[in-house]
Amino acid sequence: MKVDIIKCDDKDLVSRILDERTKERAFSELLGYMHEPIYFHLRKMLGNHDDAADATQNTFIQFHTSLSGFKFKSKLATWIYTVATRKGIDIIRKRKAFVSIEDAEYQLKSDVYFDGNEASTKLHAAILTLPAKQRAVFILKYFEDLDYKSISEATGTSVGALKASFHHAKEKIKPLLISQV
Amino acid sequence: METNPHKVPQDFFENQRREILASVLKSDTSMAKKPARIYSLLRPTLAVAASLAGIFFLTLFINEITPKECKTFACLLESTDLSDLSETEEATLEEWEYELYEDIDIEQLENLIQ
Repeated sequence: MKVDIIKCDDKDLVSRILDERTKERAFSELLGYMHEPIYFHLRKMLGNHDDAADATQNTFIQFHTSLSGFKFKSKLATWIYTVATRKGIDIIRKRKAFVSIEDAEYQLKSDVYFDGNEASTKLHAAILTLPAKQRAVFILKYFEDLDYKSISEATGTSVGALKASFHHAKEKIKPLLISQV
Repeated sequence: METNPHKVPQDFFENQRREILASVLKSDTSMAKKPARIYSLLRPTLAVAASLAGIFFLTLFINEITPKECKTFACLLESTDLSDLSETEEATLEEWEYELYEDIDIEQLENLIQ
């Protein structure tokens, strides 16, 4: 399960981050665990490197700002995914959505930092046509393999609504992938 | 699981990691150097200022409603509003004017001058 990616105790890591003497080393350690997963999560959500890079940086800065208020009700990794996902959802909602899978596919194929085969391009293009929350749910479940409880926290949606959302996302994506064959 | 199709520019993660750390450590430094938050200083300052202003306006109001203690006759004349006089005092005032003129003997005055 992806939320176990931080290989040390959450409380210990947080207290070291909050301690001025050990902050730099501890935050570097955290980035070692979470930087790439969060970046690629946002990259899948947003579809391009620049937006994902900005959102990733803002995620960790915001995480640091609000860390003293973290109450350990969830895993630290889940909380960071939550901050990142909500940032991603905000960005998607501000943008013009892709009208068609063809537009999304065209963008991916034009992207020098996207190197997927035909099937992979179709899948990621199909994901980019999903509405913001559905997209987040699908990515967190399908790629990040988070449990529904963690996804519920990350998206602010009930578990029941999540399961429905994931089901709808799958139903929407499947015909798009089949039609491209 | 598919191979990750998303690539990144060279040294992207190292460079961004440095930027994030710099930002995090800088924000801590600037917060440490900051004096006590302005809001926490502002409240007592505003409270003191409001109290002083209240005392000032209260003093003005009290001065308005309480009669001045005059040390000179001129002050007494100025501070006495005729509308403040009672009917008896007003009546006495008119009599006093007549009495004043009655007391003056013009012949005596002329003699004095000569």
